Amino acid sequence: MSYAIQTERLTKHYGDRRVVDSLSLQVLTGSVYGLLGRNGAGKSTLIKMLMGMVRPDAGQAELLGQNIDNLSNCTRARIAYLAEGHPLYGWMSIDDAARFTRSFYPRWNDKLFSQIIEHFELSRCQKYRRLSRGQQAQVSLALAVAPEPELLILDDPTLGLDTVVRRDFLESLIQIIQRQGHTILFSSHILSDVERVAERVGVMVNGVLRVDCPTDTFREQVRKLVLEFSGHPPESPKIPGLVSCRQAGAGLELVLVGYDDAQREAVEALDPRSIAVLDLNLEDAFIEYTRGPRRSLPSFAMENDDAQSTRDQGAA
Amino acid sequence: MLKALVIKELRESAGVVALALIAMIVVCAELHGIDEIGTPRFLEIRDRFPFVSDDFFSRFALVIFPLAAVLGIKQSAWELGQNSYQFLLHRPVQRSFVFNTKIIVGCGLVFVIGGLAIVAYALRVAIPGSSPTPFLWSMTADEWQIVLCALVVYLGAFLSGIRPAHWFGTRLAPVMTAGGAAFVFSFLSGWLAFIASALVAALYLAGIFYYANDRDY
Repeated sequence: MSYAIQTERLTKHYGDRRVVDSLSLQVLTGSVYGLLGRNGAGKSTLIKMLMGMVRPDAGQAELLGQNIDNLSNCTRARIAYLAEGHPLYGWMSIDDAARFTRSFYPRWNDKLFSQIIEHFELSRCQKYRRLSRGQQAQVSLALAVAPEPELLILDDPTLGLDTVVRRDFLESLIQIIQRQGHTILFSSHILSDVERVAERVGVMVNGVLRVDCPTDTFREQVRKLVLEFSGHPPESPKIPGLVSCRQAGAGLELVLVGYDDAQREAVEALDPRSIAVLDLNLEDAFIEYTRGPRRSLPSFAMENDDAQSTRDQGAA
Repeated sequence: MLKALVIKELRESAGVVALALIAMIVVCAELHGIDEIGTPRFLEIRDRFPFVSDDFFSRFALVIFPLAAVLGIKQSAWELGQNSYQFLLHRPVQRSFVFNTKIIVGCGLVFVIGGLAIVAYALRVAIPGSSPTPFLWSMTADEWQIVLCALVVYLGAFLSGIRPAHWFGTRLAPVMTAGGAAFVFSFLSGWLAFIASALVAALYLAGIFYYANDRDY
């Protein structure tokens, strides 16, 4: 079993803030790994560290078995990177960009490049700056895969694309994965994208990799429990695996990782009137998992308040 | 790969270079006795001694120094602003090779534009009867010294563009100090100016390569 990406206690600070915190990650060769996290969770910084764009403060990482501090040009040629926002030179036409990029690589599959460009119905003489955001993403993808890399690292590649273009982009990505057996690491905010493509997900929260498991496992592990109480619900129940607890009137919403017998007993010990266990899809699981502890929801329409308000209005 | 990088740098510098060339043409044309572009009076003998006591030196400096400063900042900071370093710097090529190419192209452009202006003016002055003095190439030494000083300004500007800074003032510190140094060096005698410029240029180059390798993109 070999790993295309391995990091060990990778850490990065911006000022006093630790944006990536002792992150250890392993991505199997030939797998597709989805990196999830809210804005500012540290996904882009992690990817930039892997690509040598940002220097880690501590820890180490290997890509295709070579330390990122001294990646040889030969290894770099086997890695493709799509940066967030698909930066490229606006004055270049698609043909110019292909010529420019090709000059760096020992291998260049011009047939594949042309196929992708034609598939997206792009003209090779169009200037990059005149393309829509979606088309720019398509050109970036074509440029990234034409050197036939073994490892493809994509930083939020579908950010800012509309639903149709996003779907099209992902379909192409899936085809490329199936065709060439790449290892792919990609970050995204859009959970449905990850769900469609990734076999394994990592969830970063405040720079820490909190989850690293198969996509299905993550979806199945995160459970939401809605408890109804006769009286006032307990403020901070002690339950193993509790991610967040939210009070809403006489109800209590708990998000738990796993839901085993020990947790069930702990929940029942709170003596609720009813317990509802809700299944979550990946998006809900992600939201509930990354939202973290929040203050209780305000009660906007309590019976007593309504009565008081009515009395006030009558007096007026 | 080298060819692709050089073409990219030349293409991206084309606007700045075109403006500098126009400015140089205007300077030369005015000193050649062309009142308006297109109405040359080449054989008019002027009162001043070319390269010795005319305005070419100061006007040349007024064009070449801003060219060097703008070109240096454009080549380094513009890519940061466009995020295009993220497209370029992960390619299978050493980072130092990319920055070496940028700097060689930038220095080359400053040298070529400065040199063209000096040569163009010198050729006009060398025409017998066009000026009240004989022409010797050694008369152009001060202008070549300005080109050398402009290279220091260019490197200072490049460092300004690549070096992380908290605010505008500290960001511009290298190019401002380079401007000051170039001004002082332009008054030094030939070899002294050369040695001083080379030393300061070496410092700026060390700074550029340090930040290019060490900074976050």
